[in-house]
Amino acid sequence: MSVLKQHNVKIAGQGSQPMLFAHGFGCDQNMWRFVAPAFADQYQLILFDHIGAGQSDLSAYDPAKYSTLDGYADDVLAICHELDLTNVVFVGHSVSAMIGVLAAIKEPERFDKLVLVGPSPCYINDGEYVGGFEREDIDELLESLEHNYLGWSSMMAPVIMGNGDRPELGQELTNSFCRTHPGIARQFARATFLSDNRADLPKLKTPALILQCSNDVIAPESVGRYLHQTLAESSFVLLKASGHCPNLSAPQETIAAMKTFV
Amino acid sequence: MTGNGETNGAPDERRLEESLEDLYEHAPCGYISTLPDGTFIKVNQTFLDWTGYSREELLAVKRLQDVLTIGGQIFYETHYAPLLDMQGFANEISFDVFCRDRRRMPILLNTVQQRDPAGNPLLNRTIVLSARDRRQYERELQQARKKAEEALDLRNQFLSLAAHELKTPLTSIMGHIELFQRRTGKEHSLNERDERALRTIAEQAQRLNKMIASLLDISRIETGQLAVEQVPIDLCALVNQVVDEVQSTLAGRQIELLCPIQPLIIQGDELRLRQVFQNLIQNALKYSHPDVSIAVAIRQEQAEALIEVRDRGIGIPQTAVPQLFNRFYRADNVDQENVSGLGIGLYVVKEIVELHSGSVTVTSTEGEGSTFTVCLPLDSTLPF
Repeated sequence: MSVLKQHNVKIAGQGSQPMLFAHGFGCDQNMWRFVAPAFADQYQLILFDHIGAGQSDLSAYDPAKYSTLDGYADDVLAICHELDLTNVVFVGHSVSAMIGVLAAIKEPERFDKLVLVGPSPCYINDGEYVGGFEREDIDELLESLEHNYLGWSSMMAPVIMGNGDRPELGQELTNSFCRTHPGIARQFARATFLSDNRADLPKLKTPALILQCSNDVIAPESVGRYLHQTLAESSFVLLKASGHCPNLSAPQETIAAMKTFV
Repeated sequence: MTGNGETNGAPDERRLEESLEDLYEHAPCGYISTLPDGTFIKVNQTFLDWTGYSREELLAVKRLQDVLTIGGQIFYETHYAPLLDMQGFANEISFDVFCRDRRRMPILLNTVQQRDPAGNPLLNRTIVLSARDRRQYERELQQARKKAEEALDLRNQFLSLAAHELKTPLTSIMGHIELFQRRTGKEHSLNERDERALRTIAEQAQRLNKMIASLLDISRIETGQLAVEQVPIDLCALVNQVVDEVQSTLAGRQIELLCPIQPLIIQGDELRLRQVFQNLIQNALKYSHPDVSIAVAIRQEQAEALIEVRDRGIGIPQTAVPQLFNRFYRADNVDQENVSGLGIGLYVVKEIVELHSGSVTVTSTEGEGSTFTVCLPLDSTLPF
């Protein structure tokens, strides 16, 4: 199966410069549906699902490859190669922010700019560094995943979304967008929350925008500021939006911040 | 109550009205209303009783995620909140709440999001159910599943190991039988009886070898290591060859073959597909009377090639059809004592065909015979 099919790659937009959107842990490319259309007239939009998420090809899942974020970064590059993308604006949410950083370190010539939404180079506290979590917290997350996926796996049939009040979503299948194979979700959670890419940060030469949410338990403000200090060419925007998914909860604010940068 | 007279002065059950306020406060579930960012704006008494918080400690002060375990907070941000934003509701979400005395209370919650006419979220309405017993049950279920998975892994490892271990001495036995046959054949040193015995040994070793090969196939399938090549193959030529080969081993039994003249090209693995057709044809022979012929037909239907193998044998009971392609399954109308088999062949057939993006189906009438149909996509890079 081709790389594009494996990752359920969707291409839209009328522009020529590619804008590549990568979703974070827990969801799929639908994460970008309120944000991506705002860039359709000026960019070529490329969306995809990480292997194991959304409509990706589960059979392409390789536990060894995806035990660290490098495997995911290689996938981003594989998509770039397949579509022969250069001058890419990479937009990564949550863990995919770091995945984009790793990809841009490996092949800097392909990337123009990085938009990092709620990024964190290391989630676990370490000496002076406050990532926000202790190791035990991650074990607890894994347990939480197990209980929730237990309930979900028995009703894999997707739910047709009631869409009366949000016609732009269309009559389509949702609920599945947060659904990952339990084993894969577990492994992705490990790869994400136990990752430590602080040592890679100085290697990044691509300009990056850090979009920091208020009250984000997953990527606290101190982490965003740490990134801003460590990344040579970075801008920092503190959003009013709280939580970890401003692309869903505050798309307009997210779009506005992105537009000042790209 | 009908027929009872009115009792003056005493409380009348029929007039006892349910109070909405009381229902809200003391319902057998917790009610929580929050702002879209999780801040509590209204909770009922049941939730306060369960968790030990006072209204003042929660309303406008705390967010729902603040009273969750940290693992739960991550799940809230990565799954629950996005689900609400995307679809306006989230059902059967499992969390642990920290009560005021830091006790952990397992809960299950359903949430709907209220939105204004423009679609902007206004507030989240949540019901909370206590899930202590359910969680205990789930834990046991998880453990049972883990145990079952481990047992399955162990079985697969054993299968693979056993098959490999059996194969090694057998390969040596077969090699020596062949050498022995060749030498004694040249020297004419065996009498007829010993020659027959030697032939039987060779045949039985071959049989054993085939069984071990299917066990190896099973273990490859189970561990996802059965791979197929993708090269252009002419199905007509391939099926013709297989039919000829099988036919040559049959004395006085006919395989009818109906095959188009022009080639039907697919992308696939010749060895593996050969195995599929050999298996289906040999099954057809095995399960039908030695006096009646079997038929093989190939035809093209749109972008697919269909290969039918039809017998007029014992047929398959309707109840057995759904399980027929499962591993280790054998229909119960098979004379288990005289018709041997491990119940592996059709399972391997199905796996191989599916690895070629195809399908295999069966129609059958018990006592009249069965037709197996393999359907394979034609090579789409070639004009049909």
